[in-house]
Amino acid sequence: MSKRTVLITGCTKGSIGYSLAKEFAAQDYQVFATTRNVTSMADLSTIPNITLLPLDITSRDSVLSAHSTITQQTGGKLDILYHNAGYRSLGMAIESPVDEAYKMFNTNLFGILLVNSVFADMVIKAKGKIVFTGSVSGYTPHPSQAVYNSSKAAVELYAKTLRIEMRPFGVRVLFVLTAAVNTGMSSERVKLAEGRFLNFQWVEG
Amino acid sequence: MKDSNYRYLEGKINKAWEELEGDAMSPNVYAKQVVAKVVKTNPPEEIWCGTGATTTWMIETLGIRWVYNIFFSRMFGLNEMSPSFKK
Repeated sequence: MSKRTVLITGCTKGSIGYSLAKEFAAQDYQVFATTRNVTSMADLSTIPNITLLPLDITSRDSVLSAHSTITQQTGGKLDILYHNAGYRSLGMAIESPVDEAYKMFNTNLFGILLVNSVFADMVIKAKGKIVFTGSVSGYTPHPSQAVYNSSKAAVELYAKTLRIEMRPFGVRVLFVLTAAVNTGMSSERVKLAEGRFLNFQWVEG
Repeated sequence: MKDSNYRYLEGKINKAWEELEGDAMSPNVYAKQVVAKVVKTNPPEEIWCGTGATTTWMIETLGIRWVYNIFFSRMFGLNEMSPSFKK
């Protein structure tokens, strides 16, 4: 019997996705580890069960290209689709630029929606699982991350609705309420820039 | 360019984040705990994981969300009027 398969987004070294990829490989899954820039997770390629693919979840072309590669390798089935990529930056509510908010929602909500719509049929074929790296920030009004908090609240309700809509197809939707994890996303501190209370923090979780 | 309204809280906010994320769980430990549940035949719909997850779970389960306002306003120095209003 062939191995079960998992696609994980946001696998940059040091991130949650990077550790998830290793852990699924250890559980004998065939892992498709993705991130925008493959070199940022290059050492995962030494693990036999892991295939590295470039994927920018905010780009339709990039998502379709990954879909076609994975379809060829798995015969059109995917056991687990793992939405992990995320983007976080800090800023006080009244001092957060709208452009930065678009960027955060593009990754944390719209990108997930795009990947989900393209890959859902593969998960349905496998009667598989769709998993989200959510955040307790979707519940907690942490000051200085109003936009991030709201993007995480938004994706949680998307996932909860999806869960009900996937029932006729035997697909399970899992939501992981993630609290503090020591990654590149959490290592930077807020810094006061002139005229702004903002620090553009690093990307993909 | 106008300076931030929150300039006076810079140190306090940085310190708050250090406290919140200082003892954060390692991603390897997190991944082990989460994947063990995800791969189950009958996995839970929700998985809580990471440092501080239990505290949030308790507040949500007990329905005492007002605690967030007290806790965060104190932690980030937002429980007092700005110096610009103090004479």
